[in-house]
Amino acid sequence: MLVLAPPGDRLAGTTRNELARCGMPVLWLDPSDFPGGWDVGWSVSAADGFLAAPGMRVSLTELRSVLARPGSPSRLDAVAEEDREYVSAEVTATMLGLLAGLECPVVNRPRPGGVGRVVVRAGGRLAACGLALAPTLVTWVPDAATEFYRSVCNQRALASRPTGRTKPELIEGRQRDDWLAHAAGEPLVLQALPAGERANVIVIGGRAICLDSDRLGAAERAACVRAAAALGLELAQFDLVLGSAGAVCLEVSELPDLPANGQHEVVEAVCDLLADGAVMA
Amino acid sequence: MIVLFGSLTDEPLAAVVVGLTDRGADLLLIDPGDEPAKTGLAFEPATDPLSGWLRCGERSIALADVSSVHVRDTWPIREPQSRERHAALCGLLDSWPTLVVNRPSAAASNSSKPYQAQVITSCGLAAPRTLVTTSPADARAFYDACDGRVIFKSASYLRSIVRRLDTGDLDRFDQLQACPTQFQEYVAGIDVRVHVVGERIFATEIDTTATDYRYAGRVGAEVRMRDTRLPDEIATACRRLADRLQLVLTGIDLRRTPDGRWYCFEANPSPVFTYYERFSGQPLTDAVCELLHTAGDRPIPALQADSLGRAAHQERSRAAPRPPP
Repeated sequence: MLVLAPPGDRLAGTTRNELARCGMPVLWLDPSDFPGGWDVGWSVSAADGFLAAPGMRVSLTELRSVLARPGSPSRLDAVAEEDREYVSAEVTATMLGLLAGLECPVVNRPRPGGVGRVVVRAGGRLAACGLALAPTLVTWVPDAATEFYRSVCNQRALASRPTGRTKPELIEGRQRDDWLAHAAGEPLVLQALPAGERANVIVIGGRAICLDSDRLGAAERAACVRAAAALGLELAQFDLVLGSAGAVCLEVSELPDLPANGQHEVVEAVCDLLADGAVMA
Repeated sequence: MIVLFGSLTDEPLAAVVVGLTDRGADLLLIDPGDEPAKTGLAFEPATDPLSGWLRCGERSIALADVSSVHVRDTWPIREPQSRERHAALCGLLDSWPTLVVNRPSAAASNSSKPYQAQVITSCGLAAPRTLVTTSPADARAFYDACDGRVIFKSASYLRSIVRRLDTGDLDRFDQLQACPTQFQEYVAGIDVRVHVVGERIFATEIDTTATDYRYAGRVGAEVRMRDTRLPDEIATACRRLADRLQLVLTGIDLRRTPDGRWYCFEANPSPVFTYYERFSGQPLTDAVCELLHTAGDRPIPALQADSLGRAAHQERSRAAPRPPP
């Protein structure tokens, strides 16, 4: 099995340890170490090739499954500045083509352009799966942001950026000035925060694991599984609010972190997914 | 109402603006090169149908009033602020329940030619033998296996001039470890550019001696183009490719060998169709304008996100192997 993840990835690291404990051979490669730290070569038409790091070489046909946790190339500092954009684009294109073409299961198999920020790009698809998205506004018009904050969010909202480069920040009352007044310069995403209990659901294959609430119903679990499938994700994390009217989704991540509690259940499910070939094609 | 994203300095967009204006269409042109304050966008992704509005200068329009969108360019992603505008707009374009030519998620397939090659073959078109590698020894073996008839070009969306590999390049193979490189077996033959425009298909035969006809002028070669007809199975495969990549408008690069075989290199999501129109006289601009202008009469091709990134694999997937007991 191949784990393609940065060294600090706790979910990947714990999964690797568990797979190794069960006697499964695991190859770990750091995506940010490519190119330079390891080599790849593959024939696109034949879907055959190799991965090679110092002291080892693995044929792509030997891979049983892959846990892919993307990272950015970090060795670009050694590349001339005028070449960095080119090298970065080539690395991205190479990894996408490679992982898309592997015959074995890949969790999560990447797609061109990435999933993007789901709440910005795929609210309709969540809704079609029975998962309501919290009232959300995407804008770079301060007046529109202020009006939404006042009339829809009741002056309490999560504020973030369309790219998702920063974690959503809870803004209340006058804190809005920092975010809303500068919307013209920095587009923002505002989300109303419904009353209720926050819950994180990790979908792993066809399973939905919720470790921080016992209020999550079967219908909500099924909706999360459907939504993950619609987004093409075998492994996904849903940030929900469980209110009186049911579950409302605030965010979906394709890179779930290892939860503080119940790590074993999550890791076991990821291992099962990788080991039993139950990954979606 | 038709919304256009791009600059009038872009020849295809300028031609479409003229064509749609001649048809009496109501247009809103948003140029990402304009002063940022000139444009405004607000939309609510959680609403069904999607609600919001778009502003350019003094004019604001409701998203619901837009029957089609043509995207030639959006805000650049190099600067943090314009990157956020780009992300916001892509969010809208991917979820807007109207005809979008082309949606960003669909256009992104061109960011990886090796990825596209897999989709191409899954649609019944042949792709040349292709190697992507960081290994000098691997590249050398491929060069020898192809009897030295090899080209190299970028694997990404970045435009590069397709070049034949010569013996002098072999000395530079040690540089491969710094950047993965795509090599392809050189296929001799006649280039044919196919434009799929909605349901319509146009094939243009290109006659040149240059390896990359787009840059023929740089090597002193001439280019001639003419309208041609594709074999039915190739036309069907091209339509299938456009459909699978969810590209409403695409420029597909084919080559026909002297013995009648067809190879496909890539599908361009933002083709400069006016270049081919100028040489061939084919009514490409007219077809694009017709597609945009009559969009309200047809069902909207919604983005099928769960098929993206998996199209190639689905075709070739087999029962997943089980680990050893």
